[in-house]
Amino acid sequence: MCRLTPRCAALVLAAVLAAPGAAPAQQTEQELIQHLDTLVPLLKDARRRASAAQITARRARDVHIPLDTLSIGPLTVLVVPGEGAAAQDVVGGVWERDYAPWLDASPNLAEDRIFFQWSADVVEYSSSEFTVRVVQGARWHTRGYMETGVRQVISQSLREDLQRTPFGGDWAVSAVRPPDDPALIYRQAVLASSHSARACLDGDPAACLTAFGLKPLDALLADQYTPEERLLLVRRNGSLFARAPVELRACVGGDLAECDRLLADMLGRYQSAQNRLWTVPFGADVRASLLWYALVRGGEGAWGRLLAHADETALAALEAASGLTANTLMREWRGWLLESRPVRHAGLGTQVLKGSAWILLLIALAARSTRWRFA
Amino acid sequence: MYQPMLFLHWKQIRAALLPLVVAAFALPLLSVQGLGSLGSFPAEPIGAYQFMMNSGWWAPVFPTLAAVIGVTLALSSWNWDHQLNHVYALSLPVPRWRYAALKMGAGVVLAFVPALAFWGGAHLAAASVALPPGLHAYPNALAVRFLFSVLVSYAVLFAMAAGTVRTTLVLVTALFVFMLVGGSANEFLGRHFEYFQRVNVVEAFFQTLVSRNGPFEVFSGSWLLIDV
Repeated sequence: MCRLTPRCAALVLAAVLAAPGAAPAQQTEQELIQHLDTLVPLLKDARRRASAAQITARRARDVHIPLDTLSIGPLTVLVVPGEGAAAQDVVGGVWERDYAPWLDASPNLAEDRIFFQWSADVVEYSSSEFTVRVVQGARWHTRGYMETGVRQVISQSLREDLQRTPFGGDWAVSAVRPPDDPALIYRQAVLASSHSARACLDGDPAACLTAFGLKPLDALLADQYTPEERLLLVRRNGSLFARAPVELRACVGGDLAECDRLLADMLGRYQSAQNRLWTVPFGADVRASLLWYALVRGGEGAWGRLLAHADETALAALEAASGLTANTLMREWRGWLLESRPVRHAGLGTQVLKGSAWILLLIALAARSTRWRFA
Repeated sequence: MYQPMLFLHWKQIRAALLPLVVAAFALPLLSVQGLGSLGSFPAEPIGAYQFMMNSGWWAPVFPTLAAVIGVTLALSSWNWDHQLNHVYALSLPVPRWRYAALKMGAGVVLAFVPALAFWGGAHLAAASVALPPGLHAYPNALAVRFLFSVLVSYAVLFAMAAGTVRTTLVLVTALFVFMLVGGSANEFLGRHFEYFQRVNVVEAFFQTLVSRNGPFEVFSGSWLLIDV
């Protein structure tokens, strides 16, 4: 149903103007243009008033509380009076350890504010003047929890730096921060259902580029997946092909040619690589680990170099940020990934020893039952 | 002295233990069902992702089974004593500590029965599937974890049940009540004491139990039969 919204009103107006029998007399093209020209200022005025109303409404929601402002590198941190030391410690620690070595300038980070609060009584804070990134935790939350929150908000600002660039669009990553659990990245890389991903882990840098979707798009899918793997890809993303149920059923039933037709039809509809990202064997988290590695490896000024080359291909931007050639970057990243492999037996021996100590303690307790001392 | 204790415990538990032994053997095999076999090509391509999904789905079942076996062993070990008001035990010419140790030892030996079944089942399961590149089977590590999880849960309940049935019930009930109302109580106390603002007692308690150096630490590791 069409309700009384501005878009709906415009549609009705357009329909009335366009309807051949609606006008009492035949209007010339010139008259129509003149008529539309008279509507443009009205539209602009309406937009201006709507925008002003939005700003007023947002300002009305602003929360005014006394706040202290801290500057940590390029970060502006807002804190409730008395919490400056904790913020300096936590935010400063994260900044120095994780970002300062390679992050020179970030337009969004410079404009955004981090509202940091780590106390028993958390308060809400918002402002219409700037973007407020909130890091909040109750007093019993661990320092690690707060640090993760700080990394998340810095990552949000950095991702916004990339958002309007081809790099951010065509090769989106999940975050710009150190991987929380490198073992998880290893797991995701191993679980990628693609022979190119496996060849990458086996040490082929060219296959890594394919698995990361860093090669030109033409025929990339055929390089990334075998026909059987393409069947898996379709099956795992079945909901995307809901508009072609018969073909989907044939594909899932084992018709590999039908799978290829489905994928070609789906991908052919999109021009930008952004809409093809779901087909890239290494997912957003694995891509984020590569970006992170490139930035850390690139050192001072890496972020600036990445932004400067973000309009080129993703590979060129990564090479510029890291200061390495594509093959060297892939080789080094693979080395890092293999080091992140979880060791399944790690800790089992000590766990068994400690478990045995607990068992002995419990036997001792069982042997000293009250009932028996009275017996 | 030890043999009669073992035989007595076996008589007490065999009816309950046998289905658990069967389950311990069968669960690892069930966990790889539908993942293809060595001798034949699977009907459809199986990727590492599916293996891990399947493995992950079954992972919580193994510690649960271990805990159930441990609890069953512990409760059955004192069941007879409680029923006869400890008359038989009191008539024996052994000190209390030795009697408890013998009883515990009998239970530990019986714990090996389902653990061996589990180990066999895990090996058979691992041998029956062709693993995709990058994945490995860990039947030995899993069986060791399973055995010690059985033993730890057995020892905890054994120590509780060594008192009276009432003691066990009181302790278990207190634990449940603590779990249910502990969070609200912590919030209330937080308004009056700063310590409770900094520490969530319920979370800290359970964290301590399963985290490093806690009695249930062995439960907190990886329970995946097939992993990277």
